[in-house]
Amino acid sequence: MPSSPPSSLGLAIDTSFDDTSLAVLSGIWRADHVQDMHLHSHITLSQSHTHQRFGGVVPERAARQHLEVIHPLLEEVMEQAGVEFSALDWIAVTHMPGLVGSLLIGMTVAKTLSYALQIPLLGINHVEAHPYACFLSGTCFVYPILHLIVAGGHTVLILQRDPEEWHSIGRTRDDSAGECADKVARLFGLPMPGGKYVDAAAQAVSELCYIFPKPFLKESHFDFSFSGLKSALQRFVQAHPEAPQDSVLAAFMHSMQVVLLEKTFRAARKYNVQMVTLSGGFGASVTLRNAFRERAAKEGIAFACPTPHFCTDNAAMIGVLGLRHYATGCFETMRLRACPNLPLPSPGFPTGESDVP
Amino acid sequence: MSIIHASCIRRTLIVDTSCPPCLLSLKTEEGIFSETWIPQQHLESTLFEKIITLLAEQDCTPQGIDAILVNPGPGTYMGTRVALALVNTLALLYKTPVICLDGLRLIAHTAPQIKGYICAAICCIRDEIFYQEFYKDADVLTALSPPSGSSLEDFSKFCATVHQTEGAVLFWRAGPQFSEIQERIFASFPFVQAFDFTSGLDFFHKYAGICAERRSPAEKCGSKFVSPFYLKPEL
Repeated sequence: MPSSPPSSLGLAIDTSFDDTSLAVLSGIWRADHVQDMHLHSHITLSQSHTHQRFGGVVPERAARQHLEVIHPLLEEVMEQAGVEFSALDWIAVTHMPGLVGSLLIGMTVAKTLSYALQIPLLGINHVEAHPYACFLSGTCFVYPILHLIVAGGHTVLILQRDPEEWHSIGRTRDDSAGECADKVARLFGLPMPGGKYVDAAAQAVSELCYIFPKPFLKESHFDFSFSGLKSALQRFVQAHPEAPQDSVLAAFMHSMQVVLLEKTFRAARKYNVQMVTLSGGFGASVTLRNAFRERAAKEGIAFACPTPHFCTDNAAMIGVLGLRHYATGCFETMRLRACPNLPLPSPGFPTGESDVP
Repeated sequence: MSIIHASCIRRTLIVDTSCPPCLLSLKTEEGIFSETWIPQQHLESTLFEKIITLLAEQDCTPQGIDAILVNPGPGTYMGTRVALALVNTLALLYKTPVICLDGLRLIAHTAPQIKGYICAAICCIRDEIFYQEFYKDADVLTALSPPSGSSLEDFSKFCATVHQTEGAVLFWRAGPQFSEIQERIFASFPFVQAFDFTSGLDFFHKYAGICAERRSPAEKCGSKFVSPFYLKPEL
């Protein structure tokens, strides 16, 4: 009888953008879920208040803040977990995509720990990690599966026919959904990050008063484009300054939701997937989650999304993907480099839609 | 602040990636082993490759290091932060004492003159100079001004005001990419010399002799981890 792989304990670090996040977790990687998953500790320190007055994240400021807080947080997360450094089996760290100065802080800490403790270093693609946050609430993946990732800087559709295969079948050609929502919120003078205010407006308004474009909705491909929608809204607000803010935001959210929903489920039908996931910071939107859940039920497709807390940037999801990398022996050397962009193809996203067999 | 007794320190690591050339040095009972290099890019990779090689060659592990000297800047923001992220992690893991070097004072110390005015300067960020004025008498250095940061243009004007000072010396550390800037600045001083690392005991004494003269801003704030010394705090 084959012996089951042992549970491993790891530390995960994410400093890709403006949150310093660390997590200690353990579990046994299975192809479709994590057995005996235990999140021993998880700390995320947001810098959003320090960037507020700039209307967006200032890269140099973000890097400085990461270095100031990461070591005290590292002490704290280990103390909360009640484990010694010597008990760790691996270190997982985000190395792409993100702000280079910020990535380097987490990567240098991770490399130092890996070298000093003589344990494997696992390089994690932040965008690829988002859907894995579903495992934190005990979800099992059913393959083939389609992931819609609506993270701050990226909107991507990923087809996964089995646990080892990833295909990027669609991505944004300009602004991501979350980025667009933030910019629109800023237009109304709402605080950053603005996605939650747009979502709140959409929930508050029961009847649509305005109609905005739905970019790429009729196109057969699965790419997205939201910058035109943002411009349309901008022009509308200039022409109709009297229009109620909530009604405008609700109409904007509706357009975005229709595009995301229709393209995702069209792809789901085309590739005959068994499950759809929604993840990434904008995936915390109640409006979006409800719409996806409802549509999935109607189409008879399983649906999963991480709890809202784990939709935004967090080290726990980095750790879950770390469990997979550790189990499959996907280790990095000290040559691991920070990469600001999400290259396609990349280790997490090897091909485009045209290459899907 | 903990007091480090010299007799307890057998293996000391020096890390200075604040400005090219970068330096990594290990002092053991057998001698001093150093490496300097000009990082083209990806310091996060090269630093680790070099530290692993250096320690392995001397049969030393990170845990076996008794003290770390680090240059917290002023210097390149990214280079300084990578070094501090590394040494602070070792400090956290093994409670290794970390001592801040004063980069500008180090440069001034290596100036050759015995007595007189010295301007120590670092150029590692495009169009930005970090500098400090000193008076040197034998081996005693007295700071005449706090560390400053200014644009190349303003620094040129400053140089013009001090070049009449008798025996004025500009001692300079810069990455190779700034050679054209050096030529412009150097014209203002009667004696200018570029700072360069030398390996061996003399080098280590220069470093060790001036360490811990300035505590990092973070220490003053009560943090036990070293913070970069930024001359441009407001963005």
